Amino acid sequence: MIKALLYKEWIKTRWFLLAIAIAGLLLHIYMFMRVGRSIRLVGAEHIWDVIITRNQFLFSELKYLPLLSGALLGLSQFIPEITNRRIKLTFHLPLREKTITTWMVGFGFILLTGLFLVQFAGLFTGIHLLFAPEIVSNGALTVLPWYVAGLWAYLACVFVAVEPTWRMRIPNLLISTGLIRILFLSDFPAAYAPMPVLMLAGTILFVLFLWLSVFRLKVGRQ
Amino acid sequence: MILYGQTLINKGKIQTMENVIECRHLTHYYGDRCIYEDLNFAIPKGRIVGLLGKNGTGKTTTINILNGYLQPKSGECRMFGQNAGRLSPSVKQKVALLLEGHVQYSFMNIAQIEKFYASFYPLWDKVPFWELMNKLKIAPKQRISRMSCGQRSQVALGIILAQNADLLILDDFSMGLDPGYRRLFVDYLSEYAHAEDKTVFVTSHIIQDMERLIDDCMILDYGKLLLQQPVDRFLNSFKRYRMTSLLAPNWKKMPVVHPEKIRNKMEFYSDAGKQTIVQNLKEQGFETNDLQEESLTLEEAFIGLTGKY
Repeated sequence: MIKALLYKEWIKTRWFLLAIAIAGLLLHIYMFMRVGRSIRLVGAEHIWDVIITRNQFLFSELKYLPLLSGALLGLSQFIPEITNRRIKLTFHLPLREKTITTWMVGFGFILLTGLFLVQFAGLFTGIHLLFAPEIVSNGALTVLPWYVAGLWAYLACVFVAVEPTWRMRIPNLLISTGLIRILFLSDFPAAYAPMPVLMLAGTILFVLFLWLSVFRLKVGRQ
Repeated sequence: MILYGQTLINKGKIQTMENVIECRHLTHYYGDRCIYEDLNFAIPKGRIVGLLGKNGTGKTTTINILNGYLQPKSGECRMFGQNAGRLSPSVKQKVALLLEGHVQYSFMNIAQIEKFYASFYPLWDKVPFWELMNKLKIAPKQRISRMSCGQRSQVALGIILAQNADLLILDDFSMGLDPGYRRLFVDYLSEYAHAEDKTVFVTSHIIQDMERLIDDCMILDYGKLLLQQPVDRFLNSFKRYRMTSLLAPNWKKMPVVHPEKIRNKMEFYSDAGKQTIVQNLKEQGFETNDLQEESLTLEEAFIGLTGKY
């Protein structure tokens, strides 16, 4: 049964997942071509100087990609469920509602995390080939909140979409936007390095929020 | 009126038959608006029961409560003995559900949806599903979202039949269907339910279709259940009466519903029988020579009982 449930999620999201993966791949190719060109044109010393003394991060085009990826995956998975209240069919499947929700959200969350890890690995393999280890670790800490924002965006989409009333969807959307905004307050490289607890706490908070929406849907709040 | 006394329910006590669904003392409000208060009913095994009511009387609310999508303000519904709000997977396997508008996973094609549902139901029988699909001449890879409303209804029906469930719950199955598809749906479902001894609980706003399908009718009015009884018993007892008279009798002294008088023509409904009506009218000094008793279709009886407004 779980396999069938995941099959349904796969049918809904496969083209969107492919689009997200292709967009990520193209963006990474573009970023490395641009940095490689800069190194050839102005010299590696100058690029190093820009990174170390002027605190510039050379891959800032990546900033909103995880956010958009998370939102797109969340919407592609849950908009079909809430359209015509189709989620009633899903909750009528002979499984516990908790099991259904956990597997549905788990499917999206794990796929998204997997995709982000691949992108993360690609980015840092490339940076590692060009720069010193200190710059690599600094870069990792710079992009980490962006990827966390992608996961939060995914969970926020579930939180907002599954909520049964528009009256509550709007505050839910505002709360989610406010929380995600925290991860984009500073562009300074590694600015969020001391805040992994905040990122973890935010992720847990979004998971609790989405369960609240599931509960409200289940009891038929109108 | 004896309509209330003929139901399966007597002052909240439900007869001890083998009931698939039991709702007791059900009360629900949307905000301050009362949908119903102290609603009691039971659906016996093997019956096809139609829930009839005007818009806004709580038909879909009842379906939502039964399937655990809505918590009533008070009271309780049980399906196969379990509280409707906390149905176990094994009970859900026994219940096939058709949502209003034949909603299905429209992002799937029919081969995918058949494969998907088959995994959830151990008694899944794909024969009726493909039989219906072959009638529609739909390619297995055609997406449900690209089908007409009528074709989608047949996909939803095929899924319900293939589930081989003990109880079928259908919310407004006739919505959006043209007469041909409605007839196909009703005939197929009726034959299946009677042949396989299935219990069916169905709502529809097109009552003509219900007459061909259901054994028992439940009629909801604003805030209460007016009756639950076999359709043939209802139609045998509930009649329309017409007569002419310049004066109107004191309706309050008569067992009638929704009396109307336009000029000298009177029309009213009752299940008391012609003799009782004649006796009542004579007691009030009316001539009853031109009193006509008329048999009704289910739709006419429904309108007679609930009123035109």
